[in-house]
Amino acid sequence: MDAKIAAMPCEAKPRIIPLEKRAVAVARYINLHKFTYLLILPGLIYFLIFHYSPLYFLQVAFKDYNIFKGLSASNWVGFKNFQNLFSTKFFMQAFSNTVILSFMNKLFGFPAPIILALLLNEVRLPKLKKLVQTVVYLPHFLSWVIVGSIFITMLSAQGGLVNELLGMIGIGPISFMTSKAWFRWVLVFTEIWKSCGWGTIIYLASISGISPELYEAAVVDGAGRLGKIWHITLPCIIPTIIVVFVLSLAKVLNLFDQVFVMYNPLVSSVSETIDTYVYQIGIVRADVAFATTVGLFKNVITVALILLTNQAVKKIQGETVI
Amino acid sequence: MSGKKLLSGSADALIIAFLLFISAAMLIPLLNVLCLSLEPNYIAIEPSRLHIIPREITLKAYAEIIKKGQIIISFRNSVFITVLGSLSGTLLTAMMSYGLCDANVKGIKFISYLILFTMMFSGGVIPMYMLIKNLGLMNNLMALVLPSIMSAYNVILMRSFFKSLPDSLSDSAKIDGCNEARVFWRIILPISKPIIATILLFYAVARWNAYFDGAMYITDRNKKPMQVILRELLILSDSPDTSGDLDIGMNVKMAIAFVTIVPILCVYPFLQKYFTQGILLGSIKG
Repeated sequence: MDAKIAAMPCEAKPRIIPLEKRAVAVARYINLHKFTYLLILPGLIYFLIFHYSPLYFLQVAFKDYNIFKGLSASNWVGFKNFQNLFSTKFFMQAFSNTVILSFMNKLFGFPAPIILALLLNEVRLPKLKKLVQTVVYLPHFLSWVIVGSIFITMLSAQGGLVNELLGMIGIGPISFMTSKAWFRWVLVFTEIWKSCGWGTIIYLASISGISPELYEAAVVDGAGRLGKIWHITLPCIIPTIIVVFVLSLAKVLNLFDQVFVMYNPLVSSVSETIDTYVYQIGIVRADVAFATTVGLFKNVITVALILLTNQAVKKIQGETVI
Repeated sequence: MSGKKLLSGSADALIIAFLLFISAAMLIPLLNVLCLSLEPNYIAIEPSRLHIIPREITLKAYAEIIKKGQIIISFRNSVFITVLGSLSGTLLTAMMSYGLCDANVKGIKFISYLILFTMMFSGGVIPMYMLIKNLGLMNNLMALVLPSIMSAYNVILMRSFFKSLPDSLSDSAKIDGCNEARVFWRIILPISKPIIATILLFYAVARWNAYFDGAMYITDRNKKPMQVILRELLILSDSPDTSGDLDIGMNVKMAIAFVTIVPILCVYPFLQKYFTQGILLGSIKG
């Protein structure tokens, strides 16, 4: 820092500018760029109110707050609420469910759009490609309430489409929605069903940016179809894959809408997530302090996950995503 | 040579077969819904049948929906939230993204980081709930519009689109005597149609499908958005402890589900070319 200042060639002599003059200079600067500032102002106000001011209420996590006492009358209790987390059986259950479900979603759901994009890229009939794209993007546009009710109907043990099909080959009926063994797979499958097609867009965009010369060179070197995918396409889209992965981590622990509309008391022990748990204790049972603590705990873990992955990417790739 | 071609041909066939299978897996659930909604209820609940092609067609279920006032009210609420939220959100996002392109202006970099940070960390559900309560927005439709009117992700997507536009464009307009505001409204925005359509679509779909906000901030039945009412009608009515007025037939349920999909099915093909283009352009530098 000092070195930088010393290296600055001109006006190294410290000048004392009167406050008034400085204010005029600032005002002139703002006036010069007023259009830029005016464009940003409404958005900035939005982010400050709806993304930054809620942080003020995070103090509840360190207090013995309840709705009747009010914020200022509650006492500071340090990390007591956090200590309580780990001795609460239902929190530990929600925490492990969240970790397991997020892991399953990433393990099966993350490669799915990549594979689908690679396959779509191999289709040489433009019309067919367009048709398949149109169809696979569609589920992304349906709400979880609709997707949930469709699959609850399809997977029903009484006359649901899936069980009718399984019955034809002599299996079942399986009550997917109420079976602890099956329910997590239902969640993972419906998540993939809904988002996998939409996820291909970014990869297809990335693939279309690969220079044809690379493929021509690969053909000269005797690469077949698989060789081209393995040695050209995949390496070329790896930067995109990494960016998508790191950005997706921000939402990996967010499991509310889907679980909330699909679960029921019979399977809540394998599917109650941190998000649904926060809703149950904070909104339904009004234990605000504990719910805030749980939410804060989740968000801190999310930030840690992103930063750690970002560091790992830096080590491997030499540059960071964020 | 011909052997290789044959191999390649069969690989093509395999890929196409697989993709058609995937497409079928995406479409069959929707066909199932359509079929169940068109059948009379006694057939719709009949087991040992694959409900993909209806055995008997009746529009009774659809007629039933119109009689349910609650659906119409919530439908109107959702249209209001979607239109207001997505239009104003897109405008705010476009303004902010364009302003943030000018990284040389003091403070812009800091504001960019401020926005980036919100992608990683948030206060969480309960602090947001307390804020809405303190702002006096409980049971107000604005609580479903304002808190998520724009998103950091879309700001960044749009900013990278604006950054990819050549500088010469605005420079030459300025030489012609346009001021900055004119450049933005008359030159930049009109050529940014694909990204604007994309962002508008993102916001509209998110608003139309939003469930959580409605469940959190609205208790007045006449102000509930459609997704909340849908969950009550489609999913909760299955559980035995709900009262009789929620008890509706399978065909009516599926008709309700299908009706809410229709607006999306109608707009979607027209917007498809925009959103692929928009994401493509936005992701070049981002």
